Amino acid sequence: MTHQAAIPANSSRRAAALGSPFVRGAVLIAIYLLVDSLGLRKYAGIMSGTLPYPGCSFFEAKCIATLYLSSYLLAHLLAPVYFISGVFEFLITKFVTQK
Amino acid sequence: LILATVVWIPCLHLIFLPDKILLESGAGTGATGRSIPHIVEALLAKQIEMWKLPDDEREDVLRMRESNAEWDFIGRTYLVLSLANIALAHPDRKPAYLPLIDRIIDDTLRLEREEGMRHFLMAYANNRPFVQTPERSQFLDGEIALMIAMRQLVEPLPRYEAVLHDRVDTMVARMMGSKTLCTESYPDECWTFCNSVAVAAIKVTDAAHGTDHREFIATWLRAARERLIDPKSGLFISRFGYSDGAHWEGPEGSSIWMIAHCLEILDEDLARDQYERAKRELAGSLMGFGYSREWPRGWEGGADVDVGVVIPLIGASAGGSGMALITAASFRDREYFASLLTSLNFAAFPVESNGRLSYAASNQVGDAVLLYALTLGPAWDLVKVRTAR
Repeated sequence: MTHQAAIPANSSRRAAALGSPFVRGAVLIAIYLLVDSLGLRKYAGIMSGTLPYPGCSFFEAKCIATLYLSSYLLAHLLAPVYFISGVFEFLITKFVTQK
Repeated sequence: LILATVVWIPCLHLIFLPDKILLESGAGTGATGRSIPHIVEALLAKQIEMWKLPDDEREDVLRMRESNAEWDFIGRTYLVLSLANIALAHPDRKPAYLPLIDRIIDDTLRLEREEGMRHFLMAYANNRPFVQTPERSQFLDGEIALMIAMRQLVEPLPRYEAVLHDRVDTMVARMMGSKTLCTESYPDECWTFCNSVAVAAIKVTDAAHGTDHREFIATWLRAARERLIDPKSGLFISRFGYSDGAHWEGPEGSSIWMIAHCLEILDEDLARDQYERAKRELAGSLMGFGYSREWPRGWEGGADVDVGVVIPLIGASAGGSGMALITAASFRDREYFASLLTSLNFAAFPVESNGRLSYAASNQVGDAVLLYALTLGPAWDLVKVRTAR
């Protein structure tokens, strides 16, 4: 295979991988772990009505809290759903489609 | 994707289940002879650290006071109750905890003396005068008496004897002088919560000092059954008028759970009855996540600052669910207790650093309430033994 021919093949493989439910789930979890490792969890309480965190305005704190909560919910609710659907897809491909 | 969602959502709670060791240690993790679970040690470390700071550097408390000055006071009460329970179950902790209990009590008495009782009350206490004179708040009297009585239960300190007796005598005299045998927490406003705590404090005093208020307690319980029960649910109401005894607010999650816990040392059958009714009316579980509603279904109650976040549709309240932890632990209801802890792990965002644990969606008082739910048991057990005569 020539170099020119390999490029479209690689990019379509990459696109297929990104479309994979496992990769999508992993990306969501990675984003959450990154956000959590930055110490943003402490801002989650702002949504429960406690006062703004020192060092930033209430609006800024609310934006950070929204970012944190979104990544938290996506990682716990959606990412596992992607993983499970990936397993289903795999099983369907292996046992149903091959028949 | 839909099928995967159907599979995952009912399993979500499994990753937030509480530590088995925590549940196996029973209600009172303070239960004698058992080791103290990590979560309790970490919560304690955070609370104790706060009390090592000078007053003006306790940022958590200062921020909390801006929302509600009561929380500063209630946080003290639940921390003292927790420390006393652990000290009873683990006598080796007494040298560390008794001085801290004394510091909290002394600081609270100093603030009450120097700043006045309104230091710990919400601003609406200034809107009109108290009806009963001289003005006092049962909210403060009851919880201060309970803090001191618990300290005396662990190990009597002579300098607190007269202080406690004065407080108890004052409460009894004022309650006897009112129509409902209950007195005001705010001007012309009584709370069943505050009055139950006050009577529980009197009972703990009996256990600690050998005094005898059985007759008063029996009279109070009779009056409470007659005048403070909501006819529809059979639960104690939360708020009523001092002057006319009119019911203002019905059974409320953030009140009834603590009332049932206090009743446990006053009248176990009544306490059990209230717990069962409260569970029927307020407790719920959604996909393994336990919660407490703030108001029974069909009630149109308001949301005040104590209630916290209320989840729409199911009506779950943060305040009610936090207090439900106390009663679920108190009645050894392991299933409900575990489901409430599961919700806490999911929605309260524990933050632990350097062995110190707090919850981001909570505050100091919420963390102290949780600490009490995880440590209660030994004190109430001792009170029952000492007063069973």
